Amino acid sequence: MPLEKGGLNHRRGGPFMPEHQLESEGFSIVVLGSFNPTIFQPLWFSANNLIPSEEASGPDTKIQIIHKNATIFSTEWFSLQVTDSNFTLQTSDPTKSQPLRDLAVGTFKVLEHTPLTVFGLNRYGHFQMPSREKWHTFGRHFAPKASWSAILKEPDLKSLVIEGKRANCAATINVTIQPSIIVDPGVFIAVNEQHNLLEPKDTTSADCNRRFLELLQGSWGDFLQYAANVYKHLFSEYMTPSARASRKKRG
Amino acid sequence: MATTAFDGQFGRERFRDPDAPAGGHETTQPIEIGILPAPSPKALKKVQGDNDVPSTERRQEAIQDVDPLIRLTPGSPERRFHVLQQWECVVDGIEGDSFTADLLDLTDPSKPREIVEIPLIEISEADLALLLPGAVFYWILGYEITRGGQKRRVSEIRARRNPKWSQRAIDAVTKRGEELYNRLKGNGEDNST
Amino acid sequence: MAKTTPPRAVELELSLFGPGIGECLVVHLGSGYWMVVDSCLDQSGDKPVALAYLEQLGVDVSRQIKLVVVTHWHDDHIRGISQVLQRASSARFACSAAIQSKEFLALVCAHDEIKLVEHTSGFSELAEVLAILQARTPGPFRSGPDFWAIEGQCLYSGAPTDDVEVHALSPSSQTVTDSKGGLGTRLPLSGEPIRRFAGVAPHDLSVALLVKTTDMHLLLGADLENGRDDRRGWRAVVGSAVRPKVMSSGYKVAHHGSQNADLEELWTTLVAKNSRAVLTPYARGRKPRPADDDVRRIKAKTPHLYCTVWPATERPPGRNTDRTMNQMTRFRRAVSKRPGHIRLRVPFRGSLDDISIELFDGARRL
Repeated sequence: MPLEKGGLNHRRGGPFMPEHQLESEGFSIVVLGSFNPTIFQPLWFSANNLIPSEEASGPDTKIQIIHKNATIFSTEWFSLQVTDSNFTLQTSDPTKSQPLRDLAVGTFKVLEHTPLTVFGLNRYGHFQMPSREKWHTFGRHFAPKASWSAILKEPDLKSLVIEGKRANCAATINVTIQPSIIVDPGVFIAVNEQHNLLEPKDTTSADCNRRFLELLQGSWGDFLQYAANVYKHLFSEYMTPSARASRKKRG
Repeated sequence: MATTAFDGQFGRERFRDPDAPAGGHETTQPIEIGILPAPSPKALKKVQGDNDVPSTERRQEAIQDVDPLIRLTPGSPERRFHVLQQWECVVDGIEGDSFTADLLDLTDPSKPREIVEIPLIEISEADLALLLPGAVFYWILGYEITRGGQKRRVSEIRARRNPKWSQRAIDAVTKRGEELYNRLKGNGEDNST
Repeated sequence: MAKTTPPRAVELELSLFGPGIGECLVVHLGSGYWMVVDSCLDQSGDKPVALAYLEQLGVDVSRQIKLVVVTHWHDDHIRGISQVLQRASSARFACSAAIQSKEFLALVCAHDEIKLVEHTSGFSELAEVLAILQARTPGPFRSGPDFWAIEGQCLYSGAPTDDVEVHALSPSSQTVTDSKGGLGTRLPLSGEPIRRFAGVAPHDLSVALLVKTTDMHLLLGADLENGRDDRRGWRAVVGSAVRPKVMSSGYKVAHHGSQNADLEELWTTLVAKNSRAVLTPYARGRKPRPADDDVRRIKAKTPHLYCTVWPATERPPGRNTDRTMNQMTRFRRAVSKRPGHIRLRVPFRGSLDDISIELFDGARRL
């Protein structure tokens, strides 16, 4: 079954090996720059045609704070938190991966002179493991106990972050693996792709902004596909015969 | 001193060091900023000086000097949805009580695109005003698992929402159109000197 | 004959490609020189079919494509034309004089704003074409199309080597004048949501072409419609005093065989009896073109009618959401990704009996 660009195809476990069921997933777009949090109110978004007015003033929209230092609110399908330097748009609705991207694009199309420096694309999932044994096996594969047992009793993987790059992409990738706190036994995997907007060094704010929009338009679909491939790789990786043999050897 | 820990597993840190300069975080993974019930001793010292007994007035100032770090209680509601098919639909024409659209397969781009006619009744009221030739809609089909564990088939059509044209942008485009017109040569014009 | 066999030096070729939306014509002008009219993509979706085909024939596209013509300006009908022009560095470029207006060019300039939110504007290809033309003319000189095509204009001559000419038959002078008053597609108003431009401007503005050789001629009808009076559309072409008075043996049927682009006089003054008629389908809208009555009407004029893809659409591939989708839609049709190919060849000095027609990739005689 081909891995698609947007949401995930779910039969039991979908494309991530039959045993590993995706229980929950989400997406977020994080932008670093210089912001005025008080602007980012639900009514501002509806006034700029970025969300329906019914959504802005609807019962599912909850404002926690609108303040010069921070704004936080959530609607039926997304949440937003903005500080003076961080803009985070997030959804846990798998059907909203494209609207999330559109919302970020639309916001910074309106605020086209906002200074931006870096942005990150994030996709994460909580996966149900088929057994506790396999849950332990997964953790031990990526963080072998043997490496720690001389200095720690009962070492357990709490969080693992690997940074790298991927082909044909200048961005930095961070892959995070943790035990899931909502699924037991479960694994949490998060993929982050971070793009720097400040190169070349003399780029103006307007140029950075346009570059952000072009990159976000161009890379969102590829990133979602890549993140899905990461999940698939990790789940297939720990189950290969050579991986089993290697773990056995390590003891 | 607050410690850093992970919570919520969206790559979040539960507490940010209140003494860290605002905006100092360079991660683009989503972070959660946490609220402190009172300013930290270090922050207080900024306004107290060497006086060990903070006055209410000064304490108030101290609070104002500290970032109001707000805990983000659950963000967007989680939705358990198994996506079977996603389309990007571009409206071709509207006639009577229906519209025709081009469908681009976002689930499997190798499959051919489709032409469909959809009754207007399938579009939500909020999106009807956006139903114009060239407008983009998303159509997602799949199964939703309710909180009670029930499975139901769901089909959602949702308009893409784009920002509006500003007069400034229209004026800029008009001006560029004029410049382009002036820059384009007419038939048979010879550019040689 | 193998698809990769090139035409002879004195052989006229019309290759018509069309997948169901969009079309491309590749015409051999003699001595290994070629013209490309409009563009669509090959099955991979990445490469213009004109470049893919010509490279198969061993053509050096940078040197041997001599003319590129755009008869439409909406992305769906000229997908990849900017790539063609980029590669065809020796080619001259022609498009309708009717778009040479500040208002239309402002629409093209709007592309830069629209593509930031929509990744395409509807005029992306034309914007790219103009950028390529500008890059070819650095410095203070004016850039742009080599020809703003208008009736009576000669766009290409193969003389003295080859007795081949390409003439623009439209748009008429009156149509160009009309276009100054607006093209039916206006700039957005302040407060309107940014969205890509849809559809195309009136078809009167299309560039219909005549490829004239010693004995055998081709009429390429683009999307030209009949016209509301004798100063516009096919009516103006038929009555034109400046067009070459020849009868074509090959005819690329205008506007996918629609009745509003099928003038009776066209078949008596422009197209020879028993000519070979070729067309591409158009899969959009409630009624794909050509419809059954279009086919009957055209076949009453010539029994030799060929279509690049037939039927115009196909049954959608099975999906596990078919039941729901079928319940929610009044119809569903799939558009083939593969452009069918009709190839017509005839010597410059030849007759109707010398015409060969080859059908590839799903093309059919109707």
